[in-house]
Amino acid sequence: MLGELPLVEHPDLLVGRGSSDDAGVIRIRDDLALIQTLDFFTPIVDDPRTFGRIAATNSLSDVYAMGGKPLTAMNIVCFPRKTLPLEVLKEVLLGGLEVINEAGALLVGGHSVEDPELKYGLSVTGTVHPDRVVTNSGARPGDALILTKPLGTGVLATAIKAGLAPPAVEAEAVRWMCTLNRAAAEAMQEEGASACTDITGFGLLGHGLEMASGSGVTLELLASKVPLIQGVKDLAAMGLFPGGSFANRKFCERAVTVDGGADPLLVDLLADAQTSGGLLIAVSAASREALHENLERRGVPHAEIGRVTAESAGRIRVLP
Amino acid sequence: MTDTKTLDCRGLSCPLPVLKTREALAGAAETIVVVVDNEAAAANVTRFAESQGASVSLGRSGGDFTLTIQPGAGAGPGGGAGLVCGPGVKKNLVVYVASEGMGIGDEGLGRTLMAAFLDTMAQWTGELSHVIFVNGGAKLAVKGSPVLDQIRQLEEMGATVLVCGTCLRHFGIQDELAVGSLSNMFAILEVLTSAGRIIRP
Repeated sequence: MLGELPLVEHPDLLVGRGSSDDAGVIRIRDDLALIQTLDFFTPIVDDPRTFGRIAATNSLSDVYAMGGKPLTAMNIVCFPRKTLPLEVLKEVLLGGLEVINEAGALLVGGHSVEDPELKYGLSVTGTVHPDRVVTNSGARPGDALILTKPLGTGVLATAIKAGLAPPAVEAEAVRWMCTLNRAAAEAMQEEGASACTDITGFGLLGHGLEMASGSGVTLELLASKVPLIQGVKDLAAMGLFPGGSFANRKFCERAVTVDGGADPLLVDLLADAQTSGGLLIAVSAASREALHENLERRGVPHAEIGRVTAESAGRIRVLP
Repeated sequence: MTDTKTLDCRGLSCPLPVLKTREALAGAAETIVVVVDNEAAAANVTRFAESQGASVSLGRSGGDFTLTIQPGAGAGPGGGAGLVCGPGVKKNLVVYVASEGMGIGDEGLGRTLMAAFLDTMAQWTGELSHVIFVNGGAKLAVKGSPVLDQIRQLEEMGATVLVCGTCLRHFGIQDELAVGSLSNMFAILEVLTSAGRIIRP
């Protein structure tokens, strides 16, 4: 929809709306650029503190996806005062604050409005060296593709709504959604990456396509190598895909080639809309091993899920 | 029997059409017709019905999708002798491991047998849905266990591995879990009650 608004150009605007990136980046000094982003959404779990943690982790992620460090954060709150006790809001904000503290950022304020439905998230400002910005448009043929969190939170959220999520599966998904992409971003900055994006609402296929178009390349994904949250495949087989994931699948269809033999259920899971997903990192063959080792050292679970090819611009090929 | 039950799920968003179909399909022998008004719901209901061993045919009129669901053999009271076979059948075999060894008699032999059991199970094809480890069995899923490779292989075959968290805490090895995910009685009971067959080595 933003496409209908005129584009703003400025010599110091390093990343703006012109690219479909995770955040805006503006250079304010030769050695310093500011990253700005915001995100907020409705609860996907019942526990308010956990919801606060998930929403804050998700909001901070855009800064990490650009290779930056979060500096300050502000709360964005929509709250139904007439139907929910204020105690709930306090819990949500405490959960958010825990994560902001963990990220080493400072909560400096916020804004709340009355709304029939609870919504929470953050506006985050981060910093990065202007030469070290990692966008989603730098992937090159020959790069390896590394994913730092398993997929499946969209299916899981639908299963929770349906009352069909086994507690163990829910607990694992919550753990992933509350895991900051901080360590992954630090490893990526140390070893150097060609491109990066975080996997959120458009799913791996949607955000992967943005990388493929921005970089003018094809991403080749190995469906069986993509990590899934344990138990999610069973839930997906029961038809618990959210409408958003299905829309992703339809939207991506034209630009995605699925080779015969790829499990259709896995292909659908590649389009599953994620909340607070991991980073998809494109890394050169020369730095690939070092990145694997660095992620390993920091205890960041990760998987190599494919590679970048020159086949054609803006496409994804899914192999078994 | 030519009974037909019709569910109008138009205007409902996911996961409601699946839940309503699930309710209707439970124990049903008759054909169920589900009408939905969006492709996501049509795909989800189809997937759900097929996961329950039913066959589905799809019709379209205007913006509506009509799914005619034929419960599978064995899915309902009038549906045969409960024998299920062929592709599309729900994976419903659960292995319930409640001790470190297999059988009673000699402890060392029990452990050898358990390793052989898991090893053989890992070469089994198809229908294993869950492996559950409780009490002494939970010790098999922690660091240093001689059967980690076999359990991982079961996982790779698509089985979900659940390990009793209370049991790990009881033995003081809650931080040592090396395969599968921590689980609780609620989840374990859920798996056991919906299992087709349970094997207890």
